[in-house]
Order: sequence, then C-alpha cells, then structure tokens
Amino acid sequence: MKPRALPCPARNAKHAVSRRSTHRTFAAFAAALTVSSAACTGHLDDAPLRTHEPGPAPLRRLTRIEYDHAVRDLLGDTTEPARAFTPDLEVLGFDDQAAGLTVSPIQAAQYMAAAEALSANAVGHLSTLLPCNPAPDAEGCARRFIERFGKKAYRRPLTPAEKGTLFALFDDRQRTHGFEAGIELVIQAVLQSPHFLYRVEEGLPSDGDIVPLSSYELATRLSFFLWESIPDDELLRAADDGSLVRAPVIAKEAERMLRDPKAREAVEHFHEQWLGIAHVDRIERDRHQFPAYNGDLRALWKQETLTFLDHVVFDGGGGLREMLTAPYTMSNQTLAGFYGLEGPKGDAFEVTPVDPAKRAGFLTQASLLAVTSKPNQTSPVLRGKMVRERLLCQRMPPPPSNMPLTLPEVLPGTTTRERFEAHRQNPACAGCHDLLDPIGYTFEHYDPIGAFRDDDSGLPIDATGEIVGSVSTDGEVRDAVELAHVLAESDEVRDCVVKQWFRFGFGRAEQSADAASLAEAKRAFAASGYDIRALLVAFTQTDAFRFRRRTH
Amino acid sequence: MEPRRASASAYPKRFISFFSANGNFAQGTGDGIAFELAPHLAALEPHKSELTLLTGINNEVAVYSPGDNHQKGMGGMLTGAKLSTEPIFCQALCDPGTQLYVGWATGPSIDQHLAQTPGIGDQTRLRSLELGVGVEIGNVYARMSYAAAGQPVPPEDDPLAVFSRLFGNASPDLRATRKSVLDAVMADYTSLDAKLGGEDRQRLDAHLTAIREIEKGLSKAPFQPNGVCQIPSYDRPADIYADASYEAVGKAQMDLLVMALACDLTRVASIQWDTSVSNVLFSWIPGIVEGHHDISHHADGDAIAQAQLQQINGWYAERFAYLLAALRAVPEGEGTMLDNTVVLWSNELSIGNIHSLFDMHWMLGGGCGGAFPTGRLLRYDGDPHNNLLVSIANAMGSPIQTFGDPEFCTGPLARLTG
Repeated sequence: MKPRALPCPARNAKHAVSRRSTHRTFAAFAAALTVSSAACTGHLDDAPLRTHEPGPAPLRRLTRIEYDHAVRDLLGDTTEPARAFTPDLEVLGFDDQAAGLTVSPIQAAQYMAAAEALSANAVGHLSTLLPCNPAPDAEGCARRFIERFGKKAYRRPLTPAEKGTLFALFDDRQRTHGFEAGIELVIQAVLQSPHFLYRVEEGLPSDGDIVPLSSYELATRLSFFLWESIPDDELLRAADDGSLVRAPVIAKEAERMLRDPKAREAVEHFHEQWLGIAHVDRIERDRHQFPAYNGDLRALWKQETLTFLDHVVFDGGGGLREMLTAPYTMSNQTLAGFYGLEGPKGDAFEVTPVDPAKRAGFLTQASLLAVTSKPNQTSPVLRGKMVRERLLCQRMPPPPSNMPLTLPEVLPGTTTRERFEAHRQNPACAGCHDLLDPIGYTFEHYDPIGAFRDDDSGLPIDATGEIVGSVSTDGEVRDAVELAHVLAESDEVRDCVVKQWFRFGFGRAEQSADAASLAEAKRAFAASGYDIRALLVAFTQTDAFRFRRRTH
Repeated sequence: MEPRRASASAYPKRFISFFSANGNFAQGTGDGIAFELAPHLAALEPHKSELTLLTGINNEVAVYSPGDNHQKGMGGMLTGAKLSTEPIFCQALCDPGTQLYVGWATGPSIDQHLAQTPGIGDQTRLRSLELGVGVEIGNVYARMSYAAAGQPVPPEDDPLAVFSRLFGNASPDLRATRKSVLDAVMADYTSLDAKLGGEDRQRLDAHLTAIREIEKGLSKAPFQPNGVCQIPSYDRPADIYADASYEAVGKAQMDLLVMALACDLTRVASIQWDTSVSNVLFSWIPGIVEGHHDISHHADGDAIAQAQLQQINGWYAERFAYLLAALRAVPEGEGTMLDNTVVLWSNELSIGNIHSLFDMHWMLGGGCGGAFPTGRLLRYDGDPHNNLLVSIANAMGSPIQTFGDPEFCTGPLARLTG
C-alpha cells in the first residue's frame, strides 16, 4: 500500500505511467484485503485467534486545541491560553501529527505561564473543584484532591510516588502560604507534567512487540480522537472496571461520545484542516474589483462550510455523498444575500436551498473557491491541486527548479482559461498542469470570492474539464457540479477520506502495517453508505487503535 | 578611502539574523571600498560605511539537498546543511525515488551554534531570541533556526509575549515556587524519558532540556534597568497576523530585540519576516494587487512586476536600515552597539522567478567588534556560503574551522576579515 508519486510525466507518456501506477495500487490493495480477511475470521474480541498488526504509535503531545479543551474539561477554564502558544508544526496538512509536536524553550515557558494563570483562576473557585471541605482536615482533603484531579489530568490513577511528590509540593507551600497556595502549586505541576502534556502509552504487560492498550490508554485514545480532550467521568469508569478493553464496549462508548457536542468540535477541526480553509479569514480582495466583497464575509464563508459539514455529519444523512452533492447549504441573512439565495432572515445559520444546477456541496462554497484563488483572478492550478491533494490524496510535485514560473497577466479580452491554456503549451509544464488545470477549469463559473459568474471579462465561460491520471475516477465533466457528483461516487475519493481521517485521528501517516486496519475501516465505511460517524466508530475497532507496537 | 574598522572593545559581540523572502536583486556595483548601492537599496545609504555586500556566494549545499528550492534554500540558509528525506512534508503520493519526501534540516543553524557556544549563549539570561513577523505556520518553509538536526526552533510572533519573556520580572517568591514546581515536574520527565526509545525519546529530551534552561534562568540575576538599558515601549496591533499589521509588528519586534541586546539579556537573535514563499500583500505600495510570492514569479521582461519587487525589497531595506540605526543609537564606549554587532541579511533564494540558489545576495551590517572591516562590496566566484557562516562564528568567538555539511565548506570566507 505504499503511496506512489505522480511522476509528472511528459505529456505523451502520462497515460502509460498512470496505468502502471493504477495496477500497482490495486494489486497492493487486493493483497491487503486478502491478508486482512484471512486474519479476521474470529470475532474482534477473540484476541488469541488472530494476529494483530498495528502500525507504530508515536508519543503524541497535546495540540493547542487539545490543551485548551483539556483545561476546560479539567478546570472549567475557558480562557483558551493555548491560543497564544507557538503554533503546532503542520505535518501532512494537519497540526496534530506526532512528528510535528515538538517543544521548544519558548513553548516550555508558555506551558509554565499558562499553568500559573490557570492555577490562579482555579483557586478563585476552588470549592467547585475540591471533592471535600478542607476546614476539618486540610491535608486529607489535599490528598483527595491530588488523587482525583491527578487521575483526570493523567487519565489514569496516580502511582504512590506521584501522589507523594505532589503532596510534598502542596505541603511545603501550604505551611507558609496556606491551603489554596499549596493547591495552586499542585495544579501547576500537574499541568506541566509529561503525563498531562503527552499521551503516554505503555500497553498491558505482554510478550512480544505488539501489546494491547490498557483500558485507561483506550479511554484516552477515544477521548482525544473524538473530542480532542480528556476522558469524561463515564469513560473513566469504563476504564476503571476494565470493560473498555472489549471492542463492543469501545464501540458503544464511541457512539455515545459522538452524540456529545464535543465531537462536533473535533469533526469541525478536522474539516477546516482537511479542506485548507482555516485561514480563509485572512485573504485579501480588492473591493473595487469585487464590489460584492467586504472583509466580514470571510468569517461567514468559513462558518458556512464548517456548519454545512457539521449538519451533514450530525444532523443530515451523515454521508460523504451528501457533503459533495447536497442541493442546500447553511447560511444566514448576510451570507444568503451575498449568494443571492432566499430564506434566512437573521444571524443564525439555517438550511438554505441552492440552485442544484449551479452549486453542489462544499466544493462550490465560497470558502474553498476563495482560498484557491489569487487576489485578482481565479487559479485553475490551485483549484485542481485542491481536488488532487485533498480529495484524491495525490501529491503534486513542486514545480521544477530553475524555471520561470509566471502567472498569466490579467488581460482584458481574455478568459482565465485562455490565459492558463497558454502556459500548458510548454511541454515542460504540461506534464503536471494537464493533471491540474482541466480539473480547475470546471470551477470557472466562480470568481475569486466564490460568487457565481455567467461570463469572464465579458466572454462566455467554458467550464468543461477532465480528470486524468487518477486511479479510478478519470473522465470528462461538464462543470464543477458534475465534477462533485463524479467525485461523490468515486471509490478513490472514499479511500482518500478514510486516509485523511486516519492521519488526523492517529497523528501519523499510514504505513504498510496499517493495511488491515485501513481495509477494515473502508469496509465499514462502505457498509454504512459512507457515513462519517460509522467510519469513526469503525476506526476504534481496528488493530491500529487498540494495540501498539513497542519501540526500542 | 580606508574601510571602516571599529576597534575591539570590552563590550560583548552580538549576532543578529535578518530574513526576508522570495529573492532579491543585485545589491550594488563596483568592488571593494569603491562601490555603489543599487538604487532599490537607497534606504541604506546612511549606513553605507557599516555594510559589507557579498556577491558571488552560493547556497551550494541547498542545491544538492532534497526539497523544492524554497524549502531547501530556507533550511540550508543558516545551517549549511541539507534537508533530510524523512517523510514529514508530503500529503500522500511521495516517492523516495523522486525525493518528494522532505524533512527538517540536518544540522544546527549558526545562531543556535553560537547560543550553545560557551562564552556566548551561557553568559546571558536567554541563550538566544527568535522573533517572527507574521510567521504563524510551522513547517519546513517557515523555519530557519535549528537547535540540532531535526529540531527546528520556532520564532515568537507576538511582541507582547516577547516583552514579558524579556522584561517581565518574576518576584523572588515566584522564582522560588517556579523552581520547586519545575523540580517536581523534571522528575517525571526523567523517569519517563528512561522508558522511551527512538524519536519519542528525542522529543521528550528536547522538552526536558527546555525546562532545564528555564530553571537555570531562574537562578540568574533578574533584569535591572540602567543607563541605555531601559524597558522599551512598543505598539502591538490587535491582529498581529494581518498584512496591515506587518510593519508595526516588525517595528515592535526590532525595538524589543535591540533593547534585549542593549540590556545584555541575550547576544544572539533573529528576526524572520514571514516565511519563505511569503505572500504578504504589500497593498500600501501603490499598484500592488498580488502577494509578494506571486509577483516574484513574473518574468524578467515584466517591467511592472520587476519594479514592484524592487519596491518590496526596498521596503525590507528600510526595515534593515531601521534596525541598524537603532543599534547605532546605543552608545558603547567610544563607539556604538552596531560596531559590536554583525547583522546578516539572508534570503532563501537569490532570484525568485527562477528559484535560483546561486549568487545569493547576502549582506552584513556592523563590524562585530572590529572583526570585519565594513564599507565594502566583496566579490566571490561561487564560494559556498558555509564559509561565510564559519567566518561569522569565528568573529563571534567560536573557533570552528568548518560548519554545516563539510562537503560544502572549505574554511573561513576569504578577505572578509580584511
């Protein structure tokens, strides 16, 4: 299942090369299916009957969002201090990849400052956090607090040594500065401990290199996967009694967690990274060139796409097909006015029908169309690249070195398509741009702010296009609406969504050892009619989720 | 006319790295002390006698590195090292055969080398100070400083955070509690570290080292204003990442940087203007409607785009001049702080539209305590820039003979010290 590069062939060679890579990918995929179906004869719980094969499980530090969620759920603190932390490194397009979650001296200082601010806030409402009244027995109450708070923060019971260290810190401080000051230091230490800041996993004692995760480690995996936060009390109870090591119990918990609003936040965070729209609110457009534009629209565009996808996943049909083809969007009065849609009358976002001949699902929403445009013209290159990389999971190589790369000038009396066609005349460019531009042209009815246009500089628009060099999605399309419908039926796109979710959920790239886990998730995804919630639950049943490979 | 050579002084030497993106233009004409600045660098005329213009030096190691030219230009710029081929930056279909996998730089950067050199970084409260202007993202395009192979050092983008790190004095009680908390926490890191292997351990080690540094800083003398060392004022825009805030954030960062040096809180600093491939929309320059990177891709024959790029690089020259002037405004003995400092202006490329890594446009400001005679334009013939990094290290007091990938280093850069 090793992913293949698009080799950016010269124009005449491209079909031959793409067929070769198609065969290779299918062969590998078929082999993976065979292996996993042979291995999966027993029930998931029948551990002894089958060989488990998880990929690696690198140590993951909490991301900024996870940190903010964790202190919210731990202390009731909603100040979101991690927003001021050094941004997490972006790897594979996501900010939660183990390889990117390093700590610099600046960040260690940020953790210290945040822990101090959070602990000061916490002692301001300490009675709500304490499990006891400190008046009769301050030391006993401190011990109970350490035990309870520590368990929630570390997502497991504390060891006697850990309790002892934290109590000594409390005790030393409280002698001179009182109970609250002692608790304050305990909170500071816990919030800077690696057992809070990292998701430490050891697995259950077991022979060999592949070990099942403990029930507490599974609780942590579930909560960070589906909530980007720490486990709640119910999840910890399922860990306490050990029942969580059983796959059906994991599934039941996952389903419960998906009904919690916290799951919506996590899914939203995935969507904004997967589709690359996190920074749409920073783009700039010239108001003279685009009279319909004003800066306030940018946040609404982003909210539209995220609210729309949230609606599909949690309130609508739940499926990938609906995401890509829905004849409706979510908008409020201002946004509907921008699109020229009828319906919403207030600030709240609501389901708003769109003209199905002009728009289909998220691909034709302003957020994606704007981030894939240049300030003064659309970019078929960026729009094609977005589809290639984010929906087909193909990586386009960077342009060759030492070669002029010139954006076509915006010239009166030419269409964007004509200008971009010109640069494809150069055979050195055509190899890659034949893969990109013909997909991008299908979006030509949407201008650089995502508004529908009937003409381009007064000239008629040709929005026909073609997918070439894909595994199984090649073909000509009339326009972006038809493209969306084609992508909605593509197994390649479905597999790509599984892969993107895998990376986000597991914090790493998929590897050959994950073949069985991915195949299992894909089967469940297909069986559900490509329902995202079903996919997420299916991931929790895989070897990649429930086991870990020891590192040496 | 003689080149200007400041006399060696009792004041500490400082190094500043100044970065701007997407290539630049030839810096001037002439040779040696007989040179003229290129017209787009007019803002630097008042500092002509304090500059060293370097032409004909290649970012040679980057040419041979994996990655696209922005990535490897950025990664090799201060490290003199290639990028790794680890599968970190790649969406999906990468093939090691075509080197589409690319990771972090494979060695420390010169600023971090100095920060780790005894007698430099360990003399001050902070070993080094990394400042960003609108950098925000964290990937290989956005990192020029490395503590070691695979360990990028992020810049701090927020002047407010920089201010409190530099000048927010902790009370003796706070220092004491911080120490006891960190002691307790460090025990957790140490015991966990022992259980980990491979990359997990590397990541946790870096975190543990960071905590140790903080703890060491707690026992150093707190900051005390006196003489030229005063708590600076600065203006922080509400949205530090808006293009409209770019100039103001940069000015605030430079003001803080200069005072950090004047107060001897650190001797090694950097200011990174956005990232390689920067696409800041310089809408305050009349006529500009495209982002910087987009404009940098226009052909040589596009006179309008070339003029705009000159204006953008001229704008960065104004920032560079502001920094030099601020350093010069701090008196030190018979001279100024600029005399005891060397500022290196770097770019990940030499020419944007062809992504060239040859004949880079490096420029030095200040003489580093008399090490470099200034007021010169020096011409080279394809010398590797690792040599320049060696010379800077030597001038700062690190007696190394080679830096970065030794295959691309032949020793100190000829003629730089006079």
